[in-house]
Amino acid sequence: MQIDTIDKSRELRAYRFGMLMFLVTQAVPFTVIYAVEYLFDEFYISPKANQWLGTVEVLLVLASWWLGRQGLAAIRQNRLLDLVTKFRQSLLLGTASLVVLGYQWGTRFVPPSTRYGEVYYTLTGVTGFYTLVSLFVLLAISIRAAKVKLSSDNYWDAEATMYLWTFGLLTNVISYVLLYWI
Amino acid sequence: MAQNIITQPDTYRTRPMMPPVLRGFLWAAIGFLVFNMATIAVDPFRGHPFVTEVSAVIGWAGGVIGWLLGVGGWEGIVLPLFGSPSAWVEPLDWRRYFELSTDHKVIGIQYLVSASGTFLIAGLIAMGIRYELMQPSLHFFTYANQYLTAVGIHGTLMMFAVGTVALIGGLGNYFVPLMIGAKSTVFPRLSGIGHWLVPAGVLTVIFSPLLGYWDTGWRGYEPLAMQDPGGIVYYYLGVAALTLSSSFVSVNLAATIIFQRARGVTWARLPLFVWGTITVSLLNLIWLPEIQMTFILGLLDKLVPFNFFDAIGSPLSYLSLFWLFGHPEVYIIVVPAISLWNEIIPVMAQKSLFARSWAVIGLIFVMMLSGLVWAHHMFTNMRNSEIFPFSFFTEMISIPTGFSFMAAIGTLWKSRMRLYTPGLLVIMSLFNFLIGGLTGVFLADPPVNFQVHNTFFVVAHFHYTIIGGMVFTWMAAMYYWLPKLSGRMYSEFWGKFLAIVIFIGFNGAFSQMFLLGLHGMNRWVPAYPPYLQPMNYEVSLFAFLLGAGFVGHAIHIAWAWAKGPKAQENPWNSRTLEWMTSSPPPRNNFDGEVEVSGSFYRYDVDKLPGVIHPTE
Ligand code: HEM
Ligand SMILES: [Cu+2]
Repeated sequence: MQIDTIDKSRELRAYRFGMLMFLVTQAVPFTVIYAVEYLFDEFYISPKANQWLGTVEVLLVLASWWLGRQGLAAIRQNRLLDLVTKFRQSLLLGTASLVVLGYQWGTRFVPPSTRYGEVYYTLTGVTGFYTLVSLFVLLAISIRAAKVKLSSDNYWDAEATMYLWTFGLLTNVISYVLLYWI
Repeated sequence: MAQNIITQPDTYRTRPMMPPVLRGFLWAAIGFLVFNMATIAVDPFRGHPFVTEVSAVIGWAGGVIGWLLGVGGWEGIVLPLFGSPSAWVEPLDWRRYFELSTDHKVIGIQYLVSASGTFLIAGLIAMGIRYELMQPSLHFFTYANQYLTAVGIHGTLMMFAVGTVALIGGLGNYFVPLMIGAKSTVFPRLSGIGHWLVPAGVLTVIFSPLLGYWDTGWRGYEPLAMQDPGGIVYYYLGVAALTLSSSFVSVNLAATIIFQRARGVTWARLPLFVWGTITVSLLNLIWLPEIQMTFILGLLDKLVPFNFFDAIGSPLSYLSLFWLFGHPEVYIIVVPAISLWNEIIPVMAQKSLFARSWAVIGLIFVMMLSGLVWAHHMFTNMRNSEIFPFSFFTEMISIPTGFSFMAAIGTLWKSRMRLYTPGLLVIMSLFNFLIGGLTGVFLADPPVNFQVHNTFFVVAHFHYTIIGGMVFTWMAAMYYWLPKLSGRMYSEFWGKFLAIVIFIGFNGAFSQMFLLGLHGMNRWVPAYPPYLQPMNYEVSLFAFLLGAGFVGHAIHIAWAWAKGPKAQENPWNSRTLEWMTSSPPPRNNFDGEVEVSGSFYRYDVDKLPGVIHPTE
């Protein structure tokens, strides 16, 4: 019995560490784009970039992340139903942020043929891809949670989702700051 | 999540299904078609052919997704992710090698087979290259671009699907958990699905000429790449799949080494090969994502097109971004080999490992310095003042490399080395790597570099490090661990004979390439001045001997694996943990809890370092 709980906690630590390590490595590609953006644009911001839409987009991600956090807090207190609802709401807001991004892409406020435009589309595209993956996981885990009955002593899946979504929040915020402020 | 996969011997699969690999191909074809047609449907420029460069990229993504789901990702990963009970059952017979697996030993063998198969294919292409170079003008290939594509595919496969994969994905997945006394890995499914990215990536690179001959070689140099025909697109994508595979394995093995060590396997006792694996995993985790993003930027340059790396942008930035990854990559390939020397030599000599901690420190410093030397590949494009620091660090990196080398020499010193095949191959590898390393120091010297850059001198240098250092050691490790992998023994005569064949073939071919380079033979050209023909002709003959030798080894190892005589439990009298279980090991590796209380490399004590406490 003793051994069993030790093994369980060691396993959990291994999962956490592995997930964290994976996310740290995923910061590398972003660093490459940031470096390229600095190389070509330094601190230039195109007057054509639509700051309002950019802000709305990042606020949606922030709100979505906040709801996800509440879902995680809920399962820590064994409230499974709240986890599922919060994750689904979070998914909805996250999707809305992608719709806003899609709208910006569709209107092409920022011409793709400019230096700023290249970096803009690359950075928002890559950030959007990671967002999409996080949303897929939010969806999957919100379904899984109900099926396998996550509980206050078995909620790693929900935790992992929030690791991923926190990474998504960070990349969205940094992209926003780089593209619209500095 | 692990409870969703059951291993069941008698009743295979609850529902009948198509063989997973076949289903993978089918789903890949469907995925490609669907994604391709969806792209064509929204193409603003109607009238394009059915497959365009853009639709080929998106179709490829659909194809890879279909493939991964088909080989078992659907039942093994996606369904459990959504919480459905999985109908996936891993069989215990040969079929388990042809589908998604969660057993690190099965995964290791899958990686070994994929890497070996790729090695033979890319080797066959090398034979074509050497056949072409037997005459000073085009006679085998029809167009120069065909030749260049062949060189590019050869290099790309060898670097990303053999060098990076064989020792970590293959031997690492199989042996690292055993060597630390673990019963499984932390993320078995990650490595499991990672393997299936290898065939996907290899096929992508092999079929790249369908989209047009690309001529940049394995480095994808810009701005050439963005003017290239479509084939370059599949070079980027193939490499993306292959590097992703290695990243997955690295996450899994690093977490396993940190968290799954048996009691008593402290960092101070960690086997050398495990040290090699964790240092390389860290290198992989930093630099593989870096090159992936660089290639995505290259892809956008080609498709949109953007101008990151052309004359409007900065071609030199591409070179830097490539070699920032590229130099660590050479250590990703060679560090596991270096660590294997010190794994095998003490066993073969039955003598304590000399200066073990220095060997480990060497590995770690190589890892850290390898990010500081990249520009030695670009000296001809740099100002004098910029060259110096890179020249300096490059020469410095040979010092920690030397530590590992010295540990090997120190162990050999006054030992009675048993020259069985693994021992022989390791000594050959030491010899070859010494030549490769020393010529590297020459290359780091700017005046020499200006003379021989882009000549066959460089080609000889890196083949001495990669074939001479890594491939010879890989062979040694295969013979060393064959009794563990299969429970069977190889033929000592054929092992040694073939080792001598590849040693002669290799040195005959590549030592003369140094001279060819000095005489003015350029890389990347299918035609050359006639005065170079005699030596080229000879090099090719030795190269064919080398190729035949490798095929011989492959056949011999395959024969021994299946039909060789039964091996003893611990034929080399080794002290590491993988030899404390049966051969091949059972699904859970050890029948009990492993505990370690001594050094694996001390041959002056009798007591074995590890014991197994049987579970009731
Ligand atoms: C003591 C260690 C080493 C030193 C000092 C060294 C130095 C160099 C230098 C200066 C070059 C550039 C030559 C040129 O193009 O002008 C070079 C090329 C190369 N080296 Fe090394 N090297 C070392 C070890 C290795 C190892 C261990 C490997 C592989 C396992 C390796 C693989 C390569 C490759 C692939 C190239 C050619 C890249 C290309 O241009 O396509 N080197 N090396
Ligand atoms: Cu280098």
